[in-house]
Amino acid sequence: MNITSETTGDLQILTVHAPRIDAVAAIQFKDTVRELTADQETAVVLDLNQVDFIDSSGLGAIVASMKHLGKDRPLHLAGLTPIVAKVFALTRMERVFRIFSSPMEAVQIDQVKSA
Amino acid sequence: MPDGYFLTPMHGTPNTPAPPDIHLVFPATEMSVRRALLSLRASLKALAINELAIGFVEIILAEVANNIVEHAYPLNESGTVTLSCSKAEQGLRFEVSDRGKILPGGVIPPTKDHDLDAEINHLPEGGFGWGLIRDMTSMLMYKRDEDRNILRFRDAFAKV
Repeated sequence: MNITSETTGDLQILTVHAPRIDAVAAIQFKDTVRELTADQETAVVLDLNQVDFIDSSGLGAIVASMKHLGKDRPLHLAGLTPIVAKVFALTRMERVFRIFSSPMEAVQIDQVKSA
Repeated sequence: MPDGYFLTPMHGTPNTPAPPDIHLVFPATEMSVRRALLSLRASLKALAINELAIGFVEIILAEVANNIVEHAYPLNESGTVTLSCSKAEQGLRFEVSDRGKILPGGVIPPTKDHDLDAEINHLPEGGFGWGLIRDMTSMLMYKRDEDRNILRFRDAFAKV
């Protein structure tokens, strides 16, 4: 699964370049996020703007990634498309994550906070 | 030629139901589920179902089919999933069947009530499937017919 990483200030932004995080992709997603976030210490923003479908396995993989990062490195979400947002809402998992409209919004809020 | 000849239904007598609009049979594997969902998506588009409604249907069917792949058939045993869909005035009607294990207790599992205020390490990574299916469908019904599991439902796009 193609996920790219970019570090801006105190945030690592991971962008998922795939249309689906489903049962087929879940393990690969977890492994790739794990690799990309090793050797880093910042909070992470997961940009899901290119993802238009997620199932419960994909959702589980995102929760697993959050747990792996631990308490001191929060995993935030950004750019939820309608169906992805619906899955987070119906499972109430939207309460567990901080959700930004875009990675840019996360960066701006982060800068305000640390100013 | 008797009067009303052309009023005879194209498909059998009134006692035999019309064939579904979509009928798919696919192997019970994660990759085949993905392919079947893409095929279903194309067929629903051809039936003039709108994009958002198609996305909703895709969530329901992904959960139903992946449950069959993960729980109904034992690992390394091949099986198939049969899906049919009919467009009716009230919305889309679905039937999904398989020849795997019966659902636990022979009933549709309840929605799991997860503790989302739990400490991060105790947050749920699974068990969302039947909750999503229950939330997004109406007239959800399960039947064990000899060696077959049959799940019937309507999409409840308007409900959510």
